[in-house]
Amino acid sequence: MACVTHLIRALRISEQVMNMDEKILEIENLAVEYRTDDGVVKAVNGLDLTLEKGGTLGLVGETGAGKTTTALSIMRLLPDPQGVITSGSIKFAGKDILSMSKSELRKVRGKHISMVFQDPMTSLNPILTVGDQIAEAIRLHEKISHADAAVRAQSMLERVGIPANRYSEYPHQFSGGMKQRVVIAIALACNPQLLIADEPTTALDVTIQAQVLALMNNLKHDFKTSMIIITHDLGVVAEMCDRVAILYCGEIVEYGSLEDIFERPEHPYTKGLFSSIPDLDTKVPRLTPIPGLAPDPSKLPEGCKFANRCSMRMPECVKADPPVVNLDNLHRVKCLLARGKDAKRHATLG
Amino acid sequence: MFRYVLRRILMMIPVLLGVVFVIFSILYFSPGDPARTILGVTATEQEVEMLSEELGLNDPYGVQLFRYLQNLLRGDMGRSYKNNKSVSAEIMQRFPTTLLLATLSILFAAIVAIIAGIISAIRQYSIFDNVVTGFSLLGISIPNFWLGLMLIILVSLQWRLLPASGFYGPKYWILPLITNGVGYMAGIMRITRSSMLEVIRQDYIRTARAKGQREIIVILKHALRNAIIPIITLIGLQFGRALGGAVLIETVFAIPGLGKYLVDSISAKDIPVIQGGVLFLAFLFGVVNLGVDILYGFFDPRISSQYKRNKGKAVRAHAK
Amino acid sequence: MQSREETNRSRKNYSLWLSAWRRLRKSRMAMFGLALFAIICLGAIFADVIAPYPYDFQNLDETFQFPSAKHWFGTDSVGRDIFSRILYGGRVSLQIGLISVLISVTIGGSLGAIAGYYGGKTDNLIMRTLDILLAIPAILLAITIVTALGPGMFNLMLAIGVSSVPSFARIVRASILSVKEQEFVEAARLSGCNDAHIIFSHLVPNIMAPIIVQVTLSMALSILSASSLSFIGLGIQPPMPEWGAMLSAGRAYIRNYSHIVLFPGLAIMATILSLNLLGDGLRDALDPRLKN
Repeated sequence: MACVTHLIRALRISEQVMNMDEKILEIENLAVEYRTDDGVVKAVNGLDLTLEKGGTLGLVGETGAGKTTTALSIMRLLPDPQGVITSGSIKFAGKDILSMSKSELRKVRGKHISMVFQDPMTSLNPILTVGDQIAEAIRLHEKISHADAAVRAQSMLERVGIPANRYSEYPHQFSGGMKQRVVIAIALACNPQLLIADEPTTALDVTIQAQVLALMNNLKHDFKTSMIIITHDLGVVAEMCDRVAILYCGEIVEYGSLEDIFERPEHPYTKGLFSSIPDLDTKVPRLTPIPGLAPDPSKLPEGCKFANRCSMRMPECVKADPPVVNLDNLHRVKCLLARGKDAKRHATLG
Repeated sequence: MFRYVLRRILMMIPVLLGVVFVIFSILYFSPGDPARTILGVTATEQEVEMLSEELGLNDPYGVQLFRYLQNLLRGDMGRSYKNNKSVSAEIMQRFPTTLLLATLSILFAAIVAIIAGIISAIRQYSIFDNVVTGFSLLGISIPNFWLGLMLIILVSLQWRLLPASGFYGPKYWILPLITNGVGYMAGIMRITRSSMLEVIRQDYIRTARAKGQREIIVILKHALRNAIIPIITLIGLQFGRALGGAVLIETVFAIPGLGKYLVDSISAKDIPVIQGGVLFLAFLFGVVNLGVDILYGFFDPRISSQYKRNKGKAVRAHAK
Repeated sequence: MQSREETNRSRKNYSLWLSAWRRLRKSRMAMFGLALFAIICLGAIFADVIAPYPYDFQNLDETFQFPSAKHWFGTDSVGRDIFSRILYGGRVSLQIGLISVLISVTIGGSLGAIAGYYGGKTDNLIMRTLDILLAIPAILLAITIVTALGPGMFNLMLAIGVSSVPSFARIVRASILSVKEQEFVEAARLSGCNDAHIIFSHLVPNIMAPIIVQVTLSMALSILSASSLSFIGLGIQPPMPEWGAMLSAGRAYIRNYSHIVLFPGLAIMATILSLNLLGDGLRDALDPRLKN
């Protein structure tokens, strides 16, 4: 199978970059809600996540699962006043993000943590030149002159595959894929330690997708950036990531290395995701989607949030929130079905 | 940019010609005999007929229109029926006052309104926002001539703080400016607030913040510059209303400007004055609109880039 | 001859109006505007019944009276009861507002519909002509027309109506342009309807929302224009009561009898405010973005 070789190749590259001991991002028990006139929506509920320095984490989930909310929370860019972080902690390179002052936060944004947003068509300011928008990011964090910043910006343009002489052009003069490259250029202009990419290729054509992903991989290698890639596309995950977190209804239901998730998925939802992908080699009479719909985020159920769609549901599943089970040093899953499994593994190894 | 400006100027010319045509035609068909109006009731039929002939009033419509246009291009707007003075001379003498009043009113209104509108938008639902919203609703509903009268009653007559009429110095300008200003301020406040609210929700504002930019720069450099287009559109329209509204304000405050001149001629059916006055004010309005169009070009590169020198670039821009 | 699709659509339209009405009810400002406007209308309609005196009844023994139990708003320079004149003046203002807007909607709406529907050269020609009208400040255009035609209520309505034609044309044209591309126009054309039929029975119901909003706001503007023109002597002639004319007449006496100018102005302001509040509320309630 071609994808396994692909996987192994991807793993080897990122392991060179990754530092297993140093954690660049630690999120504990994060809870975020949106307060609107129609009620309170609990977008993120008790989310735990860690990322090692140099690693690339894929955050996978369907629309509305809380991916973008999590990403925005890391940089405290939630819409104000609707979005509120109600509990939990976010630590970046050991520093507590949630207790930082506004000015400290501004120093982190763009310089240490950067974000690439979903829709390139609307992420760029239409009345400023692309060059100026990149240069602005540079000048905010480094004390250099306008002229020097412009030169740096031009080299960033070249880095992302755009001719430097297009510095003075406006966003409307670029195609979608090129706009996204500009956004990437802005995000990487100050060589951040962490890049969060929210569905960076969803709005692009497949061929452009491949280009942008390749670009991101190269830049990751050159800059040794840690990345979080938010996506619903497992193919992108396979291409780019060495860690995967599966997000459902605002919580991580399964987490592990790329191999763990792709070869040994434990959670019924994860398994469901993989089996709903059509396989090029096997012919099936029907596709097998996951039945049912995700619960309404303003009316979340008491027990396991996936219970109503789970084919392996047990009576106890709807009664209480399942605990997190550590399957081995990385792989963990939040499911009652995995209860015996950590013990079993220890038994076999021991 | 230059080509954009040039194109805008060229487009203005047929519109101005159209305006002359429309105003001339409407007044041409007004009832009454101009020659009789000039000479009065005591003149004989013969004298009236002679004057009509002299003034070319018996010529067909087309000829009279053409003649008017010709004279207009030479700066001659005819003579007043009432006192035979040159209309152009009278207009030249009076329009600076009107223009000054209109400009100062709009400037004052715009500065206050834009600042208030921005603060209102970034502090939505706060007390300040509510006050601004309430004030602007009232402001667009108050007839400015009535506000003027009320202010005169209160400030001039009761409190004796400011003069009620005339236009001899800065003290005389305060009440007219406030009267004018309130109405225009209200409208500009509303549009600033709604335009800013819409822009602040946009993704590129989030991008700016994600870079670590200071909030005030985000608001002024990123948000306001994008929000400004509808605001200056409205300011242009308000200027037009200010030019027209001069007839009201100058009447209330007895200001010797073009507006009052017009009003005084209306009852006398002094057609050349009315014609000349309206045309001149429409011309001023046209110049203001041209200015607004030019500002568009400055603020929004998408508009001016349509007329870029290098045709190749423009083609590529459209192709994308 | 309605197809099933058309019947479903009219049913859908009906429930759209209902949900819009529900949304409108939620806005306190809009409801206040509606109530205020209703009061003004009732006062105007039932002026004959409510007014304690006829509007032209002069009583030279009771001139310049301040508000009292006998004359709620006082009397003017020739002893006429101001309250009664305000009520009858409301009748005049509302009539002018309504009819001038009717003129604008009819002429402007048709022009806009034709421009939007046919596009191309027709569109260009119509819009450029309207640009000429827009280049003249509205009040000056109205002054010109009234000077030409002479003062009086109908000429006033015509003059004000004409100056509002461009805004209606623009709005209707914009709605038509956005609706034109939708499928049911193709369906209607394929089933053989002619152009006029398409415009009036298919496109018009879908563009009612912005028109309704504009009608409300235009009425406010018309009433303001009418009183402005009357203020400078170009509108309603005495003894017909018109709020602007009452202001103009009372100007000479503001030093000692300011109540003469207070009440007509308040009446104008109240009417315009109520219409603006209502128009704003309608715009929010009928906004298609909220519909989804």
